[in-house]
Amino acid sequence: MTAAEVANKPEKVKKVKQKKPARHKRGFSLEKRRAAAGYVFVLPFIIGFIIFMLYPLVNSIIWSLVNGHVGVNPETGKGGFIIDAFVGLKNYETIIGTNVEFATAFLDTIQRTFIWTPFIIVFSLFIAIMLNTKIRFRGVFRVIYFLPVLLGTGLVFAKLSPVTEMLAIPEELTRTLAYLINNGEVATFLNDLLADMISIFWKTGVQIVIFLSALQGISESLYEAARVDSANSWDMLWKITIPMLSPMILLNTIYTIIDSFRDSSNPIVAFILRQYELAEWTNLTAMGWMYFIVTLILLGIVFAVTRRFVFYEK
Amino acid sequence: MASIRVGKRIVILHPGTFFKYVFMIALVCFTALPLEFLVVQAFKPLDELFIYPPRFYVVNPTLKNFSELLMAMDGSTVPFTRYFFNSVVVTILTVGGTLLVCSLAAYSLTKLPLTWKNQIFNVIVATLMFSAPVTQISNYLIINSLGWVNTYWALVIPKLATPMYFFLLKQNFDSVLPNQLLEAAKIDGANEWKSFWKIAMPIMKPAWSTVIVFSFVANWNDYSGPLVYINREALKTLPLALSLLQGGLGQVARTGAFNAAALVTTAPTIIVYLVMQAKVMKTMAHAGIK
Repeated sequence: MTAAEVANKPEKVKKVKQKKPARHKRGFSLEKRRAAAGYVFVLPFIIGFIIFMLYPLVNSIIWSLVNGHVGVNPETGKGGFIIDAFVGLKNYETIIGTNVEFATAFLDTIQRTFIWTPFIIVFSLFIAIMLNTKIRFRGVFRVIYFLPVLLGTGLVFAKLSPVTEMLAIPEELTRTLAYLINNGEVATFLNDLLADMISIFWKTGVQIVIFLSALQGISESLYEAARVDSANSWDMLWKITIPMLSPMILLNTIYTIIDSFRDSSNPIVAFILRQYELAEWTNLTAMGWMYFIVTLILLGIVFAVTRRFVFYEK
Repeated sequence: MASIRVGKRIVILHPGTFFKYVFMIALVCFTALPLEFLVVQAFKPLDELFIYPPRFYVVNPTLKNFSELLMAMDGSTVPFTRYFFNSVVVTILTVGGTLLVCSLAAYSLTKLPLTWKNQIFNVIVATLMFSAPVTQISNYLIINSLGWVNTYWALVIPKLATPMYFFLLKQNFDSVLPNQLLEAAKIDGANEWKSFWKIAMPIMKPAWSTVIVFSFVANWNDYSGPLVYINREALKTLPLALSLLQGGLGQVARTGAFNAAALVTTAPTIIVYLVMQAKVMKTMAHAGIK
């Protein structure tokens, strides 16, 4: 077995070692060298991640379990968070027991996220596939559809809100539609959805780009082979495009859910941010953690369910 | 089926194609009109800016807003160009650093034989969920104890290890980068760094171009970071300058200059997108393996 073949089949290295131990006597084996390089490569990310993500997160767990305030520590003379007393889950209990506004905002956010996400995914996939077909000026379309991502930021976006209001679907249309359907619940649902269409479209920019760059990566030879086997474009969509895109559908679904949960315009984040202004650090962290745990569970369910449908090219 | 005469050519429109164009052009209105509005506003003289409802066109275009922006921002001691410079420096450092740090991590966690690979990945993915306010005060205390308040580092270093970009790159390394290519490179005697830099990165160009666009937009428009970490006027970035022009507490709103500034602030993100987009769309993924 040559060294190249060993590299090709890493799972067989152990066998080789057992049979011919002399071979790997000196220095590091190829596997170990590769692993060493890997640790060096991943180190900058891990360090940054620990200092600016994990450590603050651990801090925030501790803060959610205590009474405390930000100030100057009398012993060391340094500024920081000073813990007055450990109170266990009392902060959590107080919020659940007394804060009605928190629960309402919480449920609103979750409901909104799960209604919008499927629409955003299907819509952006649809547009990405259309943009990937032979179409004139597709470069122009592509650029224009991404604009909301570039523009949809705080101050500039706030300035544009009169324009987006003017472009909103007129109320008369949705009311007429509700009248035609003549079914209270469905009509309300459709009504809300149509009113949200603009917001939904404004949230598809990132997803369209992710889908498009994945679509560009699908080998044309797959479609050629399918065409030789006389598949039509509908078959090719379901048998080639969607399976090949499935890792990106998972990515986009998770991105959309997270984006919606983290969106500072959603009721719960706005509510938590108000605690920030009030300097209620212990409440803020306790609310943040409750929100995190629930969203993590929901996301875990989505991840577990969708992962079954993901196809990885071997 | 309908046909349209364009010069000497007759273009036949299939109903499907026709619908496709109508649909796509309708969507264009929703995104392009606000941008058009942004551009038009920057060239409106003051009296036209205050017309209600706002107009999508300008009657007497003027450059006065831009000269007003450059001449004086008398609430502050630094010229507008300084804010622009700060934004450029911070954004370039952040985007370059983020790209290197995240792609190295994504590469080694997909293609190299590390123990704890999946555990590390799962922890990183879990933190994707966390909304910023929870860690904000803790982060401030860390930056403060490092002595980075009022430096560029406060805006750059914490952003380098961004779970979202890591995740996006990892998904792409998984699905696009063929193992055979890396093995072939190894046979030809490339070390790990060379395989990463000379083989993996050129193939992953669409993926990291996408990351550049996202990271640029996010950092260029970042408002809360500089608001928390920077209080020296000479180090503030564009979003803070914009809010200054918009007129906060005890300040006079300068509508003309604000509209010019809004255009100047938005333009680079659109330019970066246009430049990178051309690269994203070149099909490179399969150039190496045929």
